[in-house]
Amino acid sequence: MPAIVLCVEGEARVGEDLTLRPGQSAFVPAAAASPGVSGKGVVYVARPGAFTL
Amino acid sequence: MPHATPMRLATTIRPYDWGSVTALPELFGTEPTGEPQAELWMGAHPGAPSTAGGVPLNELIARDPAATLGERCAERFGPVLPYLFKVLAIERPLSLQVHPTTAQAEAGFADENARGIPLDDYARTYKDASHKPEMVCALTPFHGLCGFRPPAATADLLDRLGVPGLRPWIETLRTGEPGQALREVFAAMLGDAARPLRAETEAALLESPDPDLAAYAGIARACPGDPGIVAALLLHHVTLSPGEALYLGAGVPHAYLGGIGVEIMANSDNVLRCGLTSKHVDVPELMRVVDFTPSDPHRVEPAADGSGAYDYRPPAPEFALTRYDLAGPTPCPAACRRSSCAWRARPASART
Repeated sequence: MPAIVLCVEGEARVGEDLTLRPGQSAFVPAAAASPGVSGKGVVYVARPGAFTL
Repeated sequence: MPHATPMRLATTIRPYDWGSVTALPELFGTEPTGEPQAELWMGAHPGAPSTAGGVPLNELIARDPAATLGERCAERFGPVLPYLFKVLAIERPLSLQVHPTTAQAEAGFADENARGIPLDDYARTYKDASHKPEMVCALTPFHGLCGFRPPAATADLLDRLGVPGLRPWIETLRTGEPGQALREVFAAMLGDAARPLRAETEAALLESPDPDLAAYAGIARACPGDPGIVAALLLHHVTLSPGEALYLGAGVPHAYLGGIGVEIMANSDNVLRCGLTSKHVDVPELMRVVDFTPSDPHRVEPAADGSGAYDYRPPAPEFALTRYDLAGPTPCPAACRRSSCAWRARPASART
């Protein structure tokens, strides 16, 4: 699913190379294979809700 | 495969006059600009798309919907990101507003197109053909107005203002069928004939020591003379602590009043306003769209898994939100066992 990751506190790493600090965000395309979010802080991840086709 | 890695976003901050000059800079450790910083937008809305690598996100998605959105999402919502994600930093009240259903939006959008009203016209009400459900999740103490209070309770509140001219409205609220009484009084409160009574009520609000009226007095102080001040008295005052969330579906009148929060919504800009704003006000259309049924605020309780993930699932197919309190180096979802994980929620074979 397409996601947007927003860091609001601390520092977060999205995938291998992307570091987010407060106020910074990243788009995670659906084709990205489970990038993983790590670090110390708080992030919000927005994505489509549950839906049935 | 193209678009197969996370992409840093460059985002836009909207300088609406209700925004705080300092809240976002303090939260994000940036320098204030001296201008209000009201909304940080993250998404692909054509009004202010974020960019990735210098390319607007809506263009990036249109070039390759399958890779960026996934086939299931693109089939369900079309080649557009179905949600818009924001951070709000509210210093003064936002407009008293309501959002349409999908059917109302489709009809209104087609009607305004047929009448030749340009999309960027000041008086344009329907900017697209989509509904606009939304959810706000507080980052700091946050408050706003949401949904109609039961009319008898509002009658008691108005009575405490001690304004004799309010008696007919109080009587209607106490004796009428709830939905009809709210419709009648709401319309009367916004009408030109009520201008003197609105001024008298506003003055009484400003002098009232009643703690139950304090939030409404705050609106009167922030928006003196505004027609929406008295109509606001019909709505619940809602407070959110950090981490608490509120969902707003179609037809529910609301106005955010203060605080910082993240907001997620369907990718739409359809807002009908009746007060607390300098933007276009369309009371007749708003009256058609408002649901006058009294309702409790729809709080969204997150599902917590005990390891720092909080999953907010409002009843809107376009969006959901998860908060992760990251406590250290353990990545999510690479080593994730969280049932609520945004990426782990589906087996890998089902991810699109």
